[in-house]
Amino acid sequence: MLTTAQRLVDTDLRRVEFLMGVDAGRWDLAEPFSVTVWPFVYTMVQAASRPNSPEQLLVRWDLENYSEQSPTGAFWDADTKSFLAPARWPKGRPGTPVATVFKVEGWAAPGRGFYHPYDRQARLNHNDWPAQNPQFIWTKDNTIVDFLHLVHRWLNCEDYLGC
Amino acid sequence: MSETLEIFLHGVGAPQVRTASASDTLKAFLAGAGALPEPGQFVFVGQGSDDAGDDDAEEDSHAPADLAMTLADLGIVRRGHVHTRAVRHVPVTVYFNDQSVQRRFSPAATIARVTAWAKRKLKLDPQGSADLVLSLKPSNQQPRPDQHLGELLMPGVRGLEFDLVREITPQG
Repeated sequence: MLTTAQRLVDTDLRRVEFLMGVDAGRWDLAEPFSVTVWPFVYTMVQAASRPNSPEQLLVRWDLENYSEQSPTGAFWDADTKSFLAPARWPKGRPGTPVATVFKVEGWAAPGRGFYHPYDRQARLNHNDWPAQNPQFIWTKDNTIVDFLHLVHRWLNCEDYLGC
Repeated sequence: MSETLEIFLHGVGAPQVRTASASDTLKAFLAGAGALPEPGQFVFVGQGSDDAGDDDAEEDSHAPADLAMTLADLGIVRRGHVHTRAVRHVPVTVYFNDQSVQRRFSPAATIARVTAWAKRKLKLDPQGSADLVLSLKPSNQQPRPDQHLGELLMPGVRGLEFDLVREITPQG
């Protein structure tokens, strides 16, 4: 029997908003949703073409207590079954949101989360973020698609330099 | 046997996915979904498209669909978007610094399309404007790139206004 969090994730992965992204090639499940790997869900996210960089990246989402609690996600290495090595994380033009959200040093969970108010690891100890970023306060009305859209946008804008 | 299509249907509550036959007329498909338009309402197929040459046009070229045509003849292959019970145009104004640009878009146009148009129209450098996103006035909500203008229209509101703002870089 599914927990409430599992049921909500399963529902959100069947919603039109998620399927539209799949149809457009923006993202897809890397493996079917399964409670055997809970609280993790694996998605591929499309990335803009850059020299010596992949066309898509694997993201492991930790969806514990979804959606009362916001997700935390990070790039994942399917071969080593561990977080993607910091040197292989996407790079952004210095000073841009892309460089900031993908930074792999200088915060509490480098290389294990996205430095963004939606990411629950990044949100920790940043009590000023809700006031600074009111549009990114995670509520129960948010879904994993909201976060996927951001990751996709960061990987497909001019500020993304490749991996 | 006619090909089975998946249709993303917008305009009747939350977007939904329905199946249809490529040989179905648009009218038959909408009737089956309980989504026929009322008089004065329009149906759009697809999301429209732009190239830089269209930027100065005051009106989006994406025209309402003919309900008598089949889904195949309307260009839907495998999957497609149908927007029903829509207005003819959504007047859009985008503000950036002291400038503003206006255009009447199809209600099926996406936020991504409007953002790209506004940046071109304002002659913004692609690299320097990569972190600019649309912020809906007056709520300051930042709609998702795949959201359609028609979905953002509140009852009684005829047009949409956006600020083009820099995405906030988390600090600290």
